[in-house]
This record gives sequence, structure tokens and C-alpha cells, in this order.
Amino acid sequence: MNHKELTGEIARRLGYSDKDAAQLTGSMIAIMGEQLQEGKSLSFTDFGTFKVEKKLEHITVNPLTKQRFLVPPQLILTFKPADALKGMSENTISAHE
Amino acid sequence: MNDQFTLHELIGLLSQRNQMKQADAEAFVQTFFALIKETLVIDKYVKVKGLGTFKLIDARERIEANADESVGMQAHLQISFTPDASMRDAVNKPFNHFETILLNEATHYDDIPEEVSSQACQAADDMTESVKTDVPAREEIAAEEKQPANEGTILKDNPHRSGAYLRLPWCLIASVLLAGILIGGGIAWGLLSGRRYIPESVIQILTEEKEEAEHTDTASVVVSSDTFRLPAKDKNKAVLPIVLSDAVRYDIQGTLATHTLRRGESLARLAERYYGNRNLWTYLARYNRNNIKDANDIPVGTLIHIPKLVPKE
Repeated sequence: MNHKELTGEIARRLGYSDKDAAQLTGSMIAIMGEQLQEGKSLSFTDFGTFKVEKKLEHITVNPLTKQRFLVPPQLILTFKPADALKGMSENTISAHE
Repeated sequence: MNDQFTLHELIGLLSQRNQMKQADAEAFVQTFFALIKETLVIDKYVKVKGLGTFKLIDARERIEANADESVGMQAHLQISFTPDASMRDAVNKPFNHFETILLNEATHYDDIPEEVSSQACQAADDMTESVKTDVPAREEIAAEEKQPANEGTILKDNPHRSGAYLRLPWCLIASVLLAGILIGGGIAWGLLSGRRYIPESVIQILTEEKEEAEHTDTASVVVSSDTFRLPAKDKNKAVLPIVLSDAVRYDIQGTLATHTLRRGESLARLAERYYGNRNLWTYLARYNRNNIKDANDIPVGTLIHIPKLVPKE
């Protein structure tokens, strides 16, 4: 499901117009982005946790060309699903079968 | 320190910004995440613009592509999240101006472990969902201070590199030594063995010196044991330099010399010495056919009469 389908489905469920739903989604994501940049982790019950992880500067070697690269430190957004989300997806899948 | 931003705060901020009721905002946020959950289960794929892509992956598929899907599938499902480019860049803002640098071979950082990157590793990274506590705001500063320090001080020669420098000369030295031994051995063998690979002129010089030293009588015509004496004698007679062609037939007119066969000698060798032509050994064989039973197997010590050959007109 892509972004458009997602916002469309939200609009349908809550009775918003597609435009409003898209705008609200954008606004929400903007807030999440701001919080993440401030170094906060987003922890949503029953869904999961978004966290910014620090990856240290390191050197990688391309095994084929033997070229060595110095990779700069990076801040990477990671997502850890909550147990509830994991369990749900598993149960639903097995229920489907 | 490691502040958590909860669903509740998100709802509050959202309602504040969009001038909507708290309840509406909460309904919206709850629906949003619930919908992601549901579609993730059904579609196994949800893309949220600006945030990222959620995928439901059967981890076993990576390991075993053609695994039986009906068995134990639920145990291997994993949710992967790939941040959107815009979100990734926003999060990585403090380090965005750094770029991956191709290192020279000589550059070596002592404090940074090297790792081999591969598709598998990257895939594994994508899958990794372990979370460390991080303190971006502080670590940024620390890292930015650390980076220039690295470049300034810890640039050292790679030990592997200097090892490569050493290894090349060793190969060279070894091959040069081997070649020298081979060439030297070849020369020694050529000198010491009975075979003649050295020009006659050189041997003549050598033998003349030897004869002077020994004060031996070179006048004797019969060359019995010392083969080195022969060329000298022939040179005195000015016979040897004539190289006889095997394109002409020859008559045998008397005996030129006699020769006691030694180990390693053959009729062909004698023919080459006396006539300058190996192919004329047949005349030797014919002339000595009474002494020789088998021209290919002559006992050592056999007296060979060397015929004098005159071209047949």
C-alpha cells in the first residue's frame, strides 16, 4: 500500500477529505521528524519505537575491488516493532491460513 | 536524557498545530497506526511518504528461497523499516556534509576496525532492529572533534602495505639467485663433462697453456688418451679448420690419426672433431668396420682409425 492509498483509507474511516488526511499525515510526520532530530525516541504503545541510532565512523572494504572506504558517522533511524505488533502480524497470518 | 516522545505527546502537538480537537487528533493518530498495522499484515508492505517503508519479511526466505511455506511460517516473520530519503537525511542532518571517502592504500587508521562490506552484510544491517541508547546531540560534537584529530595524528603506513614492498624484492632476489645458480651450474657442467659445447678455439687456448705448463711432447702423432691434445696437433698441421661438407662424397685415402675411444665419445663426435661435420661418422664406421660390431655401441678403449677423406671427383 502506498502513501496515497494509506491517506485515502484514513480519510474514508474518519470522514475527512483526502486532502485533509494527507495534510494531517504530513503534519504528524513532520512532528515526528522534529522530535527525532531533537534526539528523542518515539515510543508508541502497541506499535513500536522509532529511534535514532548512532553509527560510528568505520572503514569498509569492497571484497571484489579491495577498495577501502572511510564511511562517516551516521545517524540512522531505526524502528523496533512492539511485541504486540509482532504478535498480531503472526497471528493474523496464521489465521489467514 | 534519552527522552521518550509518546503517542500522547504526539497527539497533543498535532491538535495544537492543526487547531483540532484532542479527541480528533487522537482518533487520527490511532487510526493511522492501526491502519499501518493492518495493511502491513494484508499487503506486507506500507509506504508512508516522508517517514519510510514498512515491510513484513519472512526471514527464512532469505536463507532458504524455496522453503516449504506452510511449515512454521509465523515464527520467521519480521518487520523491517527503511526510512524515507527525506527522513533519513533529516535525521542524519549533523553528518550530512560528510561523504564516504575512497582511501588510499597507504592510509590506515589504527583505531577504526575494518570490515568487509557485502550484500549480505547490508541486508543484515537492514534487518537489524536492535536498539542502542544514543545521545546524538552530544555524540555529534564528540565525533566532529574526533574526525579532524584522526586525520591529523593517526595517519600511519599500513603494515600490510610495507609487507608488500618487502615481498616483491624477495621474489626478485630468489629468482635472480636461482637463475645465477642455473647458469653457473650449466657453465660448470659444460666445462667438466666430456661433451664439447665450448668452441674449439677456446679449448685450444686452454690446452696450449696446459701443455706449456706440463712440458709434454706434442710431437707424437698418436693421440692415445688426452683428447685435448688433438686439436693442438691438428692446428700445427693446419688440417682441422677445414670443415668437410656432407653434400659431397669422399674417398678414403689412408689414416689421418688414431683415437682411443673414451667414455662419452661416439663416432659422430669424432667425426665432428676431425672433419667438423657429425654426419661424416659413417666413413669412420666403414673404415673401422673390422673393429666395430655395432656402431651404436662401441666399447670404451676401442682404437679408432681416423681416415683421411678426399672429395670424390
